Amino acid sequence: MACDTWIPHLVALVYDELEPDDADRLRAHLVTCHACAEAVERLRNTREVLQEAVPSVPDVPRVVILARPDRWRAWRPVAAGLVVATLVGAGTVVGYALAPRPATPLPAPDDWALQGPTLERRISDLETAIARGQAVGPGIEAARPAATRTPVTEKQMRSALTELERRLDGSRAADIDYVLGEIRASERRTQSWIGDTREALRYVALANNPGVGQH
Amino acid sequence: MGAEVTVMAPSDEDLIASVGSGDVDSLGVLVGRWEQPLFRFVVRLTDAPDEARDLCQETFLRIMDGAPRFRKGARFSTWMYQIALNLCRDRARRAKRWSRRLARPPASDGTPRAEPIANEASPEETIGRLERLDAVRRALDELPADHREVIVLKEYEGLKFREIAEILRVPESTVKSRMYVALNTMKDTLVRQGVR
Repeated sequence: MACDTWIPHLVALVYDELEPDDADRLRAHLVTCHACAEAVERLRNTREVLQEAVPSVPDVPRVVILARPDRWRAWRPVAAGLVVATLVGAGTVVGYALAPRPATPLPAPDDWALQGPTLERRISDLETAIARGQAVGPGIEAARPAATRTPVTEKQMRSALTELERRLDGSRAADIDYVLGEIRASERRTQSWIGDTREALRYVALANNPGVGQH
Repeated sequence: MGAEVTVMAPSDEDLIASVGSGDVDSLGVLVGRWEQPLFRFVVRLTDAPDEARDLCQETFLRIMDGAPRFRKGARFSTWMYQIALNLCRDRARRAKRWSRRLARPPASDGTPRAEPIANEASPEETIGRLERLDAVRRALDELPADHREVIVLKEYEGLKFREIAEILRVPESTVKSRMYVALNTMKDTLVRQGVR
């Protein structure tokens, strides 16, 4: 059993935090005290085991702090606007992809004097001719050959949407979606709206974009 | 030719003073410096990685709140560890986890917890290393809270005894005494588990 009065010094010696004078006095003591010498050896042995077997720690998640409520409030309409713009843009592309389009603009009738059934028949003939990709008469721009016209497929539509998303900086949109999700989770968890209480603000989100309140 | 200029990074204390004056960007620098050591500390203290993230976040939020009151001349890291330690203790009290930890048998069926494996190690070496890691983790788990705190702060965070004493608000001699008892307790536990 080590000498009680020397215990703090034994520990300090093992961790090299003993003042030189104290170290000299302790070493002199260890020469004559077998119990303290054994205690030092035991402490060093345990330290070696701990240093060889350091429990691993998972990867540290990046910490992003929502610094001020008013700073975050400023982002919400921007985020909401971006989401709306994304939806509108996507809807526009979908609408454009799905809407039937003539291969060429309908040519103006070459005789504005035509009226009634004759005019209607002429227009119908023109539309039919255009649909078939046929030339429709002098002065009228020829329709594109049928071989160059291909219908828009679902795959092409999806590709167009993907391209739109990419152009809207998909990762940023995903970040904003994630942060909005975290806000919703925080509000559910605390049963209060963001900004109403400090408790609701005590939440952090993971973000990849350095510009979005990253600290 | 111009003279070489060395730009010193601002100290933690300078940064927290800036945070106290309203500069939130300085908090970001502090987080960048300390998020890893703090996370490691909390995980090793609580053995709950899933809760460690929340505890770290709460720690930084409290740092942000308390920055205007940070005492000039104090050390930032000491303050940070104190906050984190109090949060971990509060959590343990709420969960009554410390007492359950002491009474609870080993968490698993005896198989070591998954750990990174060195590619160069032989199967026998790997198994031996995993067993030792698991034994150390269990031995740490079985320590009383105040002894576990000292071990983690000293062995894994590498703090000086003086710093640990400031964090725990106890005399330095008390820290060393706890360390002595903690190391001997762990030694007994490890021997009992077959680790020499």
